[in-house]
Amino acid sequence: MSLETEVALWKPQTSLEGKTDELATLRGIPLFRDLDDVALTRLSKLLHERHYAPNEVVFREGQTGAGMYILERGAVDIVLRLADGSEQCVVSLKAGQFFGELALLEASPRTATAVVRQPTVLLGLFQPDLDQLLDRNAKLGARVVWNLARMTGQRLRELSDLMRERAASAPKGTS
Amino acid sequence: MSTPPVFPAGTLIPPRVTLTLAEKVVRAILGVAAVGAVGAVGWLLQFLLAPVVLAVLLTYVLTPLADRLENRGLSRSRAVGMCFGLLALLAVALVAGIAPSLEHWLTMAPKGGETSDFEVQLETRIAAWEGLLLHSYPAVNWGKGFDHVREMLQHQRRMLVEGLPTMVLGALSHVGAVVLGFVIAFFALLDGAVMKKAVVALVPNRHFENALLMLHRIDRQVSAYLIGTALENLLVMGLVAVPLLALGMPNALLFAALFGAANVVPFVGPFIGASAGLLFSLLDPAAPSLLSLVVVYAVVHFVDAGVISPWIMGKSLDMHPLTVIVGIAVGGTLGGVPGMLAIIPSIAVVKAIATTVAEGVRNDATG
Repeated sequence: MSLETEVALWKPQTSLEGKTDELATLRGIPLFRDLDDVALTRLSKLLHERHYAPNEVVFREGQTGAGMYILERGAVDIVLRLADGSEQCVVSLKAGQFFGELALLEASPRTATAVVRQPTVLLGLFQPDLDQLLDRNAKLGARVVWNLARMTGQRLRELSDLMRERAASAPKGTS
Repeated sequence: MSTPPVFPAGTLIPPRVTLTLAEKVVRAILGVAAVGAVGAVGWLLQFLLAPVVLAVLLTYVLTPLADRLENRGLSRSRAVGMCFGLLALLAVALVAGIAPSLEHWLTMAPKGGETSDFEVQLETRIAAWEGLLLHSYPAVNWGKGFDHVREMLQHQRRMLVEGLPTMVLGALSHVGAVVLGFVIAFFALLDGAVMKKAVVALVPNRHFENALLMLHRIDRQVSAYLIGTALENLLVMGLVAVPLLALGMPNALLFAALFGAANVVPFVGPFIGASAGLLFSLLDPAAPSLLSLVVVYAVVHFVDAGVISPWIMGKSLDMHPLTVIVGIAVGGTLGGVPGMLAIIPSIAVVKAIATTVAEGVRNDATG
């Protein structure tokens, strides 16, 4: 990865069209469901737009996380490093999807590495901004946190189902 | 569901960027040059220091209020306008309360070698004390001691009666800097979030999260300290004003404001603030007794030190009390009163930077 790819490209002004695109992206995110356009506009002010080049790492497994990312454009692979050092792509995310949301709840180590596969635009929502939102607009902040709790529960259920499925398909006598 | 394929190490995750020695040297030189350039620009623009400091103070103190008003449905510009309106009302009320006292003092200042009423009153008081002690203990030679007391109190009287109004009027002459500070604060309140995002947007992706966390930590610490200090001293001012008014102290609001303002300076501030009111009680026959004022100031100071300060600052400042005490001693030694005022926010900023850099180093060692 060249040094140039690390440099964030900052767009000084967001066009009206770009703003509409951003709201449309946010409307599709489960974390922001049930929020009206006024609330979404307020939330969009908290988001940080970041531009990434192919093969650039968004974050690495084990690093302390500060927040979540929403994929506005492009693609991101979520990669696990296995015990023997080998790597496994557990999911490839596309526009409208999101990742890293657990770091919104606590500054815990990232559980996987996120690698960009094509020119990508991410919208970052970070714990300090969510804290500030809870302080200053508790109603809106509480709705986001409530949605986050529901999503976390849903992901836990999905994980349990996956483990059950794998356990069922594994040959008898293996663990 | 099929299990995703497994690849050898380094296939999916690009390795970390490792800089050669030459690149590190170039980066270090560029970093030093950047710091030097910032320092040079700061030195050239030092005339902006006072307005910028005022703007930072106003922005930090008013931001929570502006945010709350905005979240009640007001537009940002209206919310900010309302904050400044409230501030203007407060300033007008304070000036209206204090201006007559200052005007009165100025008219009472001695002109062309005359002796002022305050001077006469102080001399009368000192003579009365001397007479009382001579009557009670005639064997003691009080004359020399009272000469010292007389000289010291007359010096303090000159500082208070003649110096204070001149100092306040002198401060008003810097109205340009004050207006500029208000203008900067207005725009910082209006577009502060956008400005912060613009600064963070310049940080490379690799350091972005750390930079954001560091800015947030600095912001939180400085904001907590400034808001806490403002709130504490407003409360102290109110606590002093009520008994002073009840005791019929002339210029009670002015002395309460002086005590509140001086209380910002750690340790010595309350004594400086109280000394103005105590000295005035010796000068003006209408003032309450010295003892009653000592009791008022002492009680308020103990309430502040024992209840208000730990309650407000303890909650807002994530710092050990020993750090605060040692820091203030060091700040006072290095930079006097301004050093004492600046040291706590400076420690908070250094702490936030050190915590973030340590986390960054730990993260770099991971994965």
